[in-house]
This record gives sequence, C-alpha cells and structure tokens, in this order.
Amino acid sequence: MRIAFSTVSAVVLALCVLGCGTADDRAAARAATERFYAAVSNDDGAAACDELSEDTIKELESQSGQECADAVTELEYSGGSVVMVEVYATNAKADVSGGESVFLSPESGAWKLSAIACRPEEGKPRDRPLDCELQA
Amino acid sequence: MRQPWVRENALTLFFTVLFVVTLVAQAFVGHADFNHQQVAHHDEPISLGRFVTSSVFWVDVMENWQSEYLQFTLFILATVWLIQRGSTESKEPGKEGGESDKEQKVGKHADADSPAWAKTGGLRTLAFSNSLVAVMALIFLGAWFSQAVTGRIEYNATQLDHHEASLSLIAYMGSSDFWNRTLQNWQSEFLAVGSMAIFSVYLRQRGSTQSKPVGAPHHETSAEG
Repeated sequence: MRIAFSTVSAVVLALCVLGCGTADDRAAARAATERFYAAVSNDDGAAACDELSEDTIKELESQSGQECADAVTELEYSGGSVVMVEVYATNAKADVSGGESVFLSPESGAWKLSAIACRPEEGKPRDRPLDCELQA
Repeated sequence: MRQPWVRENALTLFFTVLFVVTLVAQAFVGHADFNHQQVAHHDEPISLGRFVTSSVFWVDVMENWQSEYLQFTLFILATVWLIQRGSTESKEPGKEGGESDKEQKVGKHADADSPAWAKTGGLRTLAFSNSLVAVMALIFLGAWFSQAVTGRIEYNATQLDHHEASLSLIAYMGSSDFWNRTLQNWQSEFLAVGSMAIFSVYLRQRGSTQSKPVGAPHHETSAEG
C-alpha cells in the first residue's frame, strides 16, 4: 500500500507543478493586456503596438495600409479592466469587463497579443470561434 | 544458494531500464514533434525543460499509464472468476472464485514463512489478500485523473489557438477528446490481453513463464514452461 500512496502523492505533486507553473504566465499575460488597453485609451498607438505579436502587426498594416501605431487606435474596442486570464501551455486568453477578449502567445520571452477585440458572434453556440477585430 | 542481487531482480531491473530509456526518448522526440508543429503554426519553439513539465507531454504519458494499469487491474480481477481452458493465464476449470483459506494459505493455514498479514486474520489479511488489485486500481485511477487534468490543459491550448472558449474539468471529462484518448488505449489493451489468453492455449515459447512447456497438450490449463 505504501507504493500506492507514494504513487498517488507523486501524481498530486506533478499536477501541482503543472497547475502552479503558470502563475507567472498569468500575471505576465494580464500585465500585457492591461498595458495594451491603457495605451489604446491614451491614444498611444506606439505603446499599444509594443504589446502585439509580429504577425499581428504585419496583419494590421497589411489590412489597413497604415503604420501599426496609426491603425491600432482606430479599431473598435469595448475596453474595461481585465476580469479573467487563462493560460494553457503556449496560449493565453484575457477577458475584459467590456465583454471582449484578447488572445496571447509567447514571443521572445514575453506574452504578446495575437488577436484583439474578440467577441462571441450573435446566435452562434459557445463552441464556435470568437469573432476578432484583428488576428494574426 | 542465493544468486547475486542483480540476477535475482533481473526481470524488474530490465523493464525499469527499458521504461526510463523509452520515457526519455519519448521526451526528446515529443519535444521535436511539438516544436515542428509550433513552427508550422508560426509559433515559437519551447525548451525541452518547458516541454517535459508541460501538459502536452504528460497527457500522452498519463493516457498510456492509466490504460496499462487498468488492463492489469481487470486481468487480476477477471482471472479470479473467469477461466480459459488450456491457457497459461487461467486457473484450472472448477477453481473459479476466491478459493479456500487452506488453498490460499491464510490464517491458521499459513506457513511459517508466510507474510505476517496473511497469518493475522481479520481486516489485515483481507487487505493483504486484495493488495495487488488495490494498488493497481489506485494507480489506474490516479493516472486516469491526471490524464483528465493534463488533457484539459492541452485541449484548451488548442481551443485558445483557434480562438474558441475553454472547457472546465468536468466539461472536459465529458468531451469527445477525453473519451477518444481513453478508449483508443483501452481497446488495444483489451485486445492484447484477450489474444494472449487464447494464443497461449495453442502457441508456445520455450522457457517462458507465459507459455506452457512446448510438449504440453493444448487442453492443459495453468501450466508453466
């Protein structure tokens, strides 16, 4: 029985390590999202673009025909404070109080926004992709 | 005269070494495969250390562990009551069930060198009499629950990659992903055990405990070569 208890303890410890290991990532993803929304609300396009992933910046500049710093503040945001952050392996999602979400992924050691101003589409079930103003 | 320790424990040592080598190999090739997928999706590769502490790695490990321990749990229990005539994996016909205390050498029928808990009777003997299946079942349940926890994280990572909503643990345990991972492992284990039970009736491996002696008749049950 000692072996069984040791195994169960090892499993519980492993789960703790797996579960607890993302606390720093959650804080970093939250901070990146808060910096992005603060920059947008201050009309600081350059600071907002600092929080976007390279692919997202390219997509925005390709779509708008403008520099990222000029185009990023023209998108529609509901804004608000960050109410929930989820991190799963190499992906993160932050929900803001205005009812929209952003998605993040790691890039050069930091969490960067890869999709912004994402909202559930009208009439679609919950397991459909969110509709984003901009995504890489 | 006793053999050297290594020789006396060669079977356990052999499979322990194989286990460690293959687990390490799985970590390396799994890491390479994961990073290949990351690059293909324009995402950043991750370090080996990050990979082996991630749910992406452990869900694959856990789904295999749970099915192996379930296989042995069921096999231990099934062979108490079910027989296969002619199989080395089976008791002889007519011996189905828990058998008598005399046959099992418990309580007053215990030998001088029987384990202490086999001699004492009561709850201790009851616990010891079922300790093998209890340990196997506990490891199975622990590994299966770990598969659910790590599988949910891996599944939700993909959901977020597709800009879809995440699932709670309870919702994930009812999802097709969880049951697909579970059942694809279970069916292969049941096939292997079932085929071993019937193959050992008609086929032989000279010198193996898993086979009858080469010259033993097909109808002879529970004979070891």
